[in-house]
Amino acid sequence: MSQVAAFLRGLDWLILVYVVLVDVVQSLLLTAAAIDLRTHRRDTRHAMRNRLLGSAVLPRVSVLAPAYNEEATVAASVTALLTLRYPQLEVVVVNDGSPDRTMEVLRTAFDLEPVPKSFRRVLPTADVLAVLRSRSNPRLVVVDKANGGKADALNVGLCVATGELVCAIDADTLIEPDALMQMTRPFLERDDCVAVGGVIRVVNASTVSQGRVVTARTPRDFLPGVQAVEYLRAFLFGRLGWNRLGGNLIISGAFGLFRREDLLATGGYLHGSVGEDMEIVARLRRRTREGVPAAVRFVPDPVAWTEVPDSLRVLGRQRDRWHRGLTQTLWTYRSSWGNPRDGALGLVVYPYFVLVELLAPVVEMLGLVGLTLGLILHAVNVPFAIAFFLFAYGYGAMLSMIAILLDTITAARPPTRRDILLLATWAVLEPVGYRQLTVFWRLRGIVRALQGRSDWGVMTRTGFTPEGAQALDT
Amino acid sequence: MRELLIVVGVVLLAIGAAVLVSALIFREVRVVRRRRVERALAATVAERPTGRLSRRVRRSVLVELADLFQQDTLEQRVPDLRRTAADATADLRSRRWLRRARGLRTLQSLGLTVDELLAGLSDRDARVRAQAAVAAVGRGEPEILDGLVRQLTDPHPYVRFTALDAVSRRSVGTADALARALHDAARLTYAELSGSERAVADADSAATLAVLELARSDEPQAAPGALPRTERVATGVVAVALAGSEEGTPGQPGTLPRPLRATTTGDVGSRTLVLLLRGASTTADSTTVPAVRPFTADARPEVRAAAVNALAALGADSEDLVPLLTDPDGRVRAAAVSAVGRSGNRSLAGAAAARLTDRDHGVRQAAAAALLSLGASGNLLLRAALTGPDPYAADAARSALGLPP
Repeated sequence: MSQVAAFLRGLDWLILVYVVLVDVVQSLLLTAAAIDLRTHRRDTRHAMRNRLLGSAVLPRVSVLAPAYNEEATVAASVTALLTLRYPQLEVVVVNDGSPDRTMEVLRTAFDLEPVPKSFRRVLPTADVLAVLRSRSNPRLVVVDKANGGKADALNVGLCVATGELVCAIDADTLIEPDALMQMTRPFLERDDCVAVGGVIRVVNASTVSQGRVVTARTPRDFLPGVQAVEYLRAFLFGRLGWNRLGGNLIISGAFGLFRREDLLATGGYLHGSVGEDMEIVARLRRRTREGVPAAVRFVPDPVAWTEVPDSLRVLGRQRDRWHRGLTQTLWTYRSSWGNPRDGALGLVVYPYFVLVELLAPVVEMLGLVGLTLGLILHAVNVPFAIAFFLFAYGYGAMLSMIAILLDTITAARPPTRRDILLLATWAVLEPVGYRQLTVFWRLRGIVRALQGRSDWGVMTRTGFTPEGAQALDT
Repeated sequence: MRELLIVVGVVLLAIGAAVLVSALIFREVRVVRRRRVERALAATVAERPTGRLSRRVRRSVLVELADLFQQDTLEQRVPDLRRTAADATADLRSRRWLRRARGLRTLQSLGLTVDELLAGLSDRDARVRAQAAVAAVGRGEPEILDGLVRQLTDPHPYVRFTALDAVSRRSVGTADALARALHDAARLTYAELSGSERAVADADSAATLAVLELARSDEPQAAPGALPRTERVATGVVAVALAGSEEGTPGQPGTLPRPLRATTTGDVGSRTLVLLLRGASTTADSTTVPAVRPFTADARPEVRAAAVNALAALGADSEDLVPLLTDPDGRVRAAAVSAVGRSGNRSLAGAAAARLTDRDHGVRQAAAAALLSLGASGNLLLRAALTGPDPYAADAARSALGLPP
């Protein structure tokens, strides 16, 4: 019994040290994020975006939109994409062998006509059946192809696209009208920039019309609400902090802008990967070993909106898949862990992602099990545990509040007082109960990754309508 | 330890609460500022009195209205405009880059003098130089245009972009400035010049000495983020070209110093030339053609391709393009055959059809597309390729004609 108690005490100290180390790293990220945000605001304060709308020399951007069984939403989504404010825009919709009426809807809505299948097949993909161009809007190209999955559809889009930059989006992503103007800037500022990401915000509870967010609102329900806080924390000081330190390793699959030539040179999107957004960035950055500079930048402006799961079942599947993707990617690039050949990426970024992002649920689960056992065996110093909880809770709450402040600073339209207070409420509630659930899902992700599972699971979304949400399975 | 954790935890919670209050205050400030600007804008547009405005609001109103009204109308409608202009002029002399950029932006609507703009274009901070390039759009003074063309070789990519953007908006006289820069860059690159007394005399000019300094400096000594040596030399080349041409007539190159030629012959950076050629292609002024033409013989394929694209955009004689249809590099051949298609010169259909059998996929596709745009004769040649012996040519023709594989 005393051995168990000694083990539990050792475990307590291990967890305490881990938590303090993580907090120190996060404080550094927070400081870096604040500096980067200040620099970004100063640099862009005098930028006249409207002037650039008339520019003839901006790089051409091709938006790649894979579509599978999207007959209900495809016309509205494509219309929204075609009305993005960017002068050199091309939209490439890839119908990935949808068995429903997606292709017919596109043909009717955009008056498509077949054009020669004239493109360079740089990447191996499933058969391309037809390439069509819209008579009513020549900026729209539709590719009809045999089913091959999202990565395959994106690779076909990469081959057909003519833009210097390509933007990969998810089917349920709503893009801010000025997003491409904001995201293009890092490519203009740096010759070595290969990918750019931006802030993705939660759209649940916001009013959406014609594929545009008309009124932004903080979600009123608990699950979407706490996820809104999580998104703010992840983007506004996680990725923004790494931006300053040159360690960005993730560009959200929901919306990212890449230099097409570099994507093609690295072999395009990988089939069968569940974390393709992180994998592609890791692969792009690996090219620095070959002497090809590859900077990944993050823009702290809200550029896109995504709908988050509002049921525990779907959320659990999503988190499980995210963590499987993280595990797979980190394992694939394990030779970079601590490798000086990769510079700061190998010595700082990969160790951080392994120790903090990947192993956090393992440590947290150990802590929870240890606490439960300790309480049962009376081997826990209860006042100390309460003090430790207060410390960890206080730190987490402070980070969330800072994320809310940064959101208030960066939001295109100032949020309402009620929205800020509601976000703060979700931030206060998030660490109790919800956080522990995510620990379980992420652990399940690690276990499944070790088992070699690469299925995506079914993602259920609620459609966007002006009146509110209606159930729609996709 | 326990007490320490409790104290730290409570302090962190208090900081969190303070941050939340700051967010609420910040939000109120944003809303109030926005309302003030909107009210002032509405009043100004409706020619109603705006009342006393803060500097910030005045600047915002001015920038918002600059595109809508002429300067004299602005003077009538925006209160205290002179004070705003005086503030902005003072900003231009500030030690802080943000103020200098702000000054340029504000004065852009109120009229910047040539000297102010030139100072902005050669500012030590890249962000100010970029702002100056934005402010230079639509200005036709030769000094400003020369300054803009010089910025095409700026070490900072964003400044190069803003300069190219400004050049592409076609101010009168931009073509002359670009032609001068290209002409002298060509003479340096291809060593056509013979030395002259005046060239030696020019070596004393500040710009030339700066270039010589750049040319002699070794790569490892370059500052982080600086251009490679060839690009730095090219920057100087353009500077000298522009400085030297002051005594000549527009479109005529200035004289270049002999030592400079010796150090830079064949060494003008390809990125610089591509940018200059892109700039030239946006001018839509055919007087630039003679300055562009020599670059179709450049040793570097990216420069040749840019020159071909520029010639096509400037409406050059399509016969010039024929030798480039057999260029060793696929990018150049594809650009040349596309240019033939754009020219509409049907007498070149046969030469374009020959490229249907090219070993490069991109060239074959470009040739098929060019033939399509050459009308009936091109169409006939495409149909002939369908039954011809070359399966690749037949595939390209089928693809262009929209026939099944």
